[in-house]
Amino acid sequence: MKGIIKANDLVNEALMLTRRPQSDYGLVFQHLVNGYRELNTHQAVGVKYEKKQMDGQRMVDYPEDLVELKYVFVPYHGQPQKLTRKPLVPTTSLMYGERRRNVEDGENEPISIQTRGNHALPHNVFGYYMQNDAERWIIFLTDSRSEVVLAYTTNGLSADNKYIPTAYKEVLLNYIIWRDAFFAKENMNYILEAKRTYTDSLRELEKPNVNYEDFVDAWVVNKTVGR
Amino acid sequence: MKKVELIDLCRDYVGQVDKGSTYHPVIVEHMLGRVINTILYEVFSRRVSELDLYTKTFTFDVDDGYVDISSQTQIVQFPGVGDGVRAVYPVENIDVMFYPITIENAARNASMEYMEVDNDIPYMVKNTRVEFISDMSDISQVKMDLVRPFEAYDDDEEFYVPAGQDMVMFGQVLELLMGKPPADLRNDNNPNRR
Repeated sequence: MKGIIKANDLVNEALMLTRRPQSDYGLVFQHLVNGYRELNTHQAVGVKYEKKQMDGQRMVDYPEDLVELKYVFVPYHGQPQKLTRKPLVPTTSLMYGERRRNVEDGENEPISIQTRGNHALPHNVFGYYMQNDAERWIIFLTDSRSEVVLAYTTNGLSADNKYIPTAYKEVLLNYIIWRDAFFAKENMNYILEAKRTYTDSLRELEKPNVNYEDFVDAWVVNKTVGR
Repeated sequence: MKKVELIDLCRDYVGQVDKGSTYHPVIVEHMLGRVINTILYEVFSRRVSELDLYTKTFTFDVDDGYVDISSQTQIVQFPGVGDGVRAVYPVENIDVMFYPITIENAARNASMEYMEVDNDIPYMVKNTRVEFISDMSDISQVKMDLVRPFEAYDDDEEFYVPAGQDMVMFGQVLELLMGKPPADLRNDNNPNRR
């Protein structure tokens, strides 16, 4: 009994509990992949952080398991300083198989890092960014930082990560049962009951985990709870 | 009961009822095989996972991503993916699991997301061959739990008649054999006169 469980062990447990033959292993595993992504993407059980170095063109590729980019930040005096999105003119293109940016205008216009005094501009001193979901890259507009941290929701499972926190086990088992009943066109009562069981277990998972100290800290220091 | 004893018992029983008739042990063996096949299906078709008593473990060399069952024995056809191949596992201590799939799913599996996460190996049963879908370069031998037809049992091997089916089995063997004409023992080169 551990705080973390291997994905294929969870699949085997689901097969045993539902009395399914081993030939349904692939089917149930695919339900698990979908369920874990659903949990990560829409139920916001966790955000994954990854530090990235910009390339020579001030660009960063999406990590392979990124489903949705939540925000981008740079560490500043121990606090995350979020960068802001700015709709830039997308002039990035592929030329002879290489990625190019138009450095004259549009994406790469330099911005002032002058933030104090009479000529201070209302810029985000740490930089702006534009994300391109179709090409899966982020273009940065910054002169002051070249290393950023991406906060994103993840697919959950990948070739490098085959483990799932045991806390999500019940939710995922119920998800598998519900979706399988739905696709197998089981009777309506059973499908609705399976869905209700899933949403109930989801609600259990979403119980707020905030203690007294968190509240005091938020009140006094004006910090955001849970950050 | 040992296989040979079961055949002798059947011959004796049939000989008492069908007076004067004698049947070659091989004929009785094959008829028993047909009857047992039917009985196993009727008893276990809804409880395939309870066939453990009728399985035997064999070790096979993996050759070019497949195993040839006919090199050692035969299997039965049975409801459920995998048929008479009840389980496959590696001989070496490798953390991998095998699971049966259909030809239809094998084509789809290649593009499924879970295949990127999972290292386990699907297999298909095609006639006398078991074909593995994933890379088997690390695995040279596999063990298999197989359900064999009655004919593939050794003479002194134990065979367990499913509970409550003994009389059904003898009755059906008798029914099959009694309709069979007696052996042609005359040396007259005439198949119509006995």
